[in-house]
Amino acid sequence: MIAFILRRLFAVIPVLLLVTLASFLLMRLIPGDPAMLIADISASDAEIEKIREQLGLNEPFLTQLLHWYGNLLRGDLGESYLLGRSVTQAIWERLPTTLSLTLLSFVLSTTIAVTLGVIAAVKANTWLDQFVMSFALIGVALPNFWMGLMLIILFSVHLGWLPSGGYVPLSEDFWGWLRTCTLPAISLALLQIGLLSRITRATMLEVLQQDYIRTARAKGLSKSKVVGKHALKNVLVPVITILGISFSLLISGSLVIETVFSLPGVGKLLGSAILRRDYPVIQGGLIFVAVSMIFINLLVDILYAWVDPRVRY
Amino acid sequence: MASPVIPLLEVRDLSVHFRTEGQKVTAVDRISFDLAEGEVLGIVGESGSGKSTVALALMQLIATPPGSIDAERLSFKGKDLMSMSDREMRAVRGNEISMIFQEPMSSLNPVFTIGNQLVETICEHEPLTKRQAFAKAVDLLRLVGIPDPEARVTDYPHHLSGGMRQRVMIAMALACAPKLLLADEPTTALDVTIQAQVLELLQHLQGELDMAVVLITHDLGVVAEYTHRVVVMYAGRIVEEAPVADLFAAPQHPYTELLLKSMPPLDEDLHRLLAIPGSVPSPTEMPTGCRFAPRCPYAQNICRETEPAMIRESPARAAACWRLVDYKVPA
Repeated sequence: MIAFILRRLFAVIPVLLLVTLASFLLMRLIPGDPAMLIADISASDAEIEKIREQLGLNEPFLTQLLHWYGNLLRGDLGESYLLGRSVTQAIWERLPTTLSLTLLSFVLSTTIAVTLGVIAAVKANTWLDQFVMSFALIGVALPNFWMGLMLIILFSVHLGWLPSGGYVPLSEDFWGWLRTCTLPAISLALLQIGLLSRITRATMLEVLQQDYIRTARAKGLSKSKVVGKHALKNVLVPVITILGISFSLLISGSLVIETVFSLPGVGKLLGSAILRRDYPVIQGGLIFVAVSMIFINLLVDILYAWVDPRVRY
Repeated sequence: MASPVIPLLEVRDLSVHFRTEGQKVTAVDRISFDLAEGEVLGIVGESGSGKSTVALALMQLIATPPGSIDAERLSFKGKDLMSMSDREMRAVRGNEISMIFQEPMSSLNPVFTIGNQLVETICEHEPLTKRQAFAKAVDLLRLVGIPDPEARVTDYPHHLSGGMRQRVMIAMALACAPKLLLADEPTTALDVTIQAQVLELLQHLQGELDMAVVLITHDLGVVAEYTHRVVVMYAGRIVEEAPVADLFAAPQHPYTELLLKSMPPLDEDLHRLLAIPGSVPSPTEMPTGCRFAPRCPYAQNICRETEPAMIRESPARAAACWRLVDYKVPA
């Protein structure tokens, strides 16, 4: 197991090289000049040229890339062009917001989806099943930013129950944190709930047909034990595999949702950095996203072995 | 006058229907039999004869819907299984009536240790602590002949071979010393040598625990070796019932006769296996009259028109064939 984890951690290196290379190339392929965006509108060509010189943008592409990799090896992601602070610091400041959003929405979607899927499977082909699955279909079909806007209209504008945006850190005020995170987390979770509950339902239906379920019933166990213990743990095996993919969808979804709800998170940081050609922030942000994906999928694999004793690494 | 001794199990006119796509099919049709305490009853028949369905119906494990169970009487130790609530029935299942299945490879839950699955059964029915139940689980594994039970108890099913898994299933079924064990083709999926071991084990434990066993099989050799009495099923009906020696000596129903003839003899060179021509009719297309008539070498007009009733020759012997009623039917 330890060897497996180490092997997986080593696999991070080529992934990071590719991610950074791609972002380096892409940012320099699309038009736009960070120096022009930094400088005043009235700045002369010479002044812009000077900024370019300072940022090292006049160096050959390969030199820039190697220079950046060199800094990365020392754990230095560089300085933001515009924010007046290091990229590490900028990400670090916004990390709690993004983590709050994705984790809350992950917990919400997983618990709700598995519950709904199990209910739908146990009550298969009844009105309850059809109701739950129609709800799931809506979740899959509607884009999350639109869902977010609708939630704002309903809960913030009309009912006035929850704020339409902003963020209160967890360390300051738990209820304030929950109030600011709830709507974005729900709008982000709906798609996941739709996907996961359908997968849970299908898997549960299949598992309930298995011989060991009949054995469990022949032992005299109650239906809740048969479903909640014997069937559920088997259902979780494929569901956990999906969770890794699900979490990566949450991270990419948070980029949009943070903008809709004006949450100061990593997604929003990355979004504005792209618009303003803040190269170091873009690269740093992408590394953050890549590392978190790898980390989550590693967790999923470990969890997988824990749930299914037949899986060994 | 009924015998004053109440049989352990009394089945009267048990039927099991399934409703599929608006069609009602009858898998088991008005069957009746008794089982005494400590008796081993074989239920024999080809695939599709409804024998497994009988066992599942006794356990009330038929999914309803699409299934439905009817019985004039289905009593165990004088208690009516049909009128039991779900909770009462659960107290019987795995406790007083246990079942083992055909597929040991898939009948154990792959994600729980065998110890966990044994302890769960014990704790469901007996007021033991987890620790006591665990000790009992180890004892049960030893009882069914699993070597090194202290180590095996923490194994997962995939660590064990098919024969070992079936032993675990037996240990689980015997955990609460049931009065009745339903064994649904317990050795069909196993190697021949392992089959004998498992059946010997079952026979040994049956004697030791003095439990009644319903052994469902299509293997007449198994029936001859391990049962006291036999019920022969064909297309959802019981066609013959007899003590095992009588059945082999003088089968009364043509189906039984042909089944016996289709057994490969051990003592002579065999050039060709005798097979019963045709196959069990599908429950949706039951022939009128005797269900075996289309495959029966003795079938007469009356056989194709009217279904014969069970003719009871003695308390233990009965068969449903027109030949027993009227031998004067022209040949």
